Amino acid sequence: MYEKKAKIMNSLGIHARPASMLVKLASNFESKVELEKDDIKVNAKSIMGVLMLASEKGCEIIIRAEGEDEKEAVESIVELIEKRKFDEE
Amino acid sequence: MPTAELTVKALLDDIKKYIDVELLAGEKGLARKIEKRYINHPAYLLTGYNKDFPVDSIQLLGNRDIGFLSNLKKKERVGAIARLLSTNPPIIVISWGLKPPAELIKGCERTGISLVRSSAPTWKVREDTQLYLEDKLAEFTSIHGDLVDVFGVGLLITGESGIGKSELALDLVERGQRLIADDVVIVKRKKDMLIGEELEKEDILRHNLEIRGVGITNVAVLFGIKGIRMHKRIEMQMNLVKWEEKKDYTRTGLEIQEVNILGVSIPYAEVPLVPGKNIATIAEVIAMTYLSKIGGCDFAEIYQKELLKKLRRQGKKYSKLEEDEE
Repeated sequence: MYEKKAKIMNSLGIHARPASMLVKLASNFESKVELEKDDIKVNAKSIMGVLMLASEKGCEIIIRAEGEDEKEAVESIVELIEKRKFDEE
Repeated sequence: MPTAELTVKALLDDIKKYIDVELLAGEKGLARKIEKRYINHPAYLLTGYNKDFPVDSIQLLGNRDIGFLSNLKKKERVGAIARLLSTNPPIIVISWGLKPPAELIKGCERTGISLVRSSAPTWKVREDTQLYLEDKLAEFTSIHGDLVDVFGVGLLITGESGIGKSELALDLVERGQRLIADDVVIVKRKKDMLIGEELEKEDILRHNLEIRGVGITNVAVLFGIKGIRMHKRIEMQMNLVKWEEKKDYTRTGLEIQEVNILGVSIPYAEVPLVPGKNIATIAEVIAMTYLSKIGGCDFAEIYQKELLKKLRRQGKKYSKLEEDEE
């Protein structure tokens, strides 16, 4: 298992478009990937859960993966959230 | 297991639905978190016995407690109140609209412990607060799956992403069943019961469901009020899996498989998916079989019993025939 925290950087937070980007990215990996915010865990490969987390700018979420490509999965999602800011800014 | 966060202010705002409350002192403490799930009578502590006394829990002062305090000499009363405050309760509640001793008001103001008064009887304050706390601070977990009320049975549908949980939920709603949650089910334990609800709490954002190839659809709008439910006791789990040739699936239904969620065991059925299989019908049959089982009619067991009888009868017949042939 591999996990890392990420801070939401884009000003609108995870709305529909970023959520679908995240789900698409997570689905590329074999590992089981989940997101956690305020003790609530959701499957990162499924869009409704990612949307319902309602992650606003500035909040921190945990990205956790388990499987063969766990490290790669977590790192690339962290990059999408923190560095690429969902290509929004 | 995590529990939800509850502040003194949130409790006071919510409990107003059941009993009237007024804040007498300790406004500083409104932001404090409540962590203990029960409320306590401090009678023994007031008399001076403090062994095993619970700290950090809500304290309730009724007729006898207030009466006892006012009957004490001032010095003893100050001591009793100091003992009570030293257990660091998030709230001290006074019932029957009684007047608290001045030292208590002062002490609460100083320490930032919220002192609250209600005109309700002690038993009602205790009962309503207790029920509220059990609900709010119940242990919970989040499960990836869908929850549908099928003929009154709370059916938790699980399986990996993309296997068709939401599609099955939609199919069931179309047949007149009711959706509670899609994708994420928040499960709370209440006594030996599991209660499932949606993660979303805002009405306008509730009961949405994602179908691959379609996108987000709103079940409440498409199917109306009859297609949705806010929460439901979870009674069974149905796990969807891809068909595997070699795997051993339940065939007779004589052995019951169970799954444990938050320490509560519920029946569990693993259903393999193959093209052409009508999974919504299977889900309904699973729910109906469960209902008939708890109603005392277990199909698999009845079949097995009757089959054994038949085999015995036939066995007797043949041995009789053999006797006749000589």
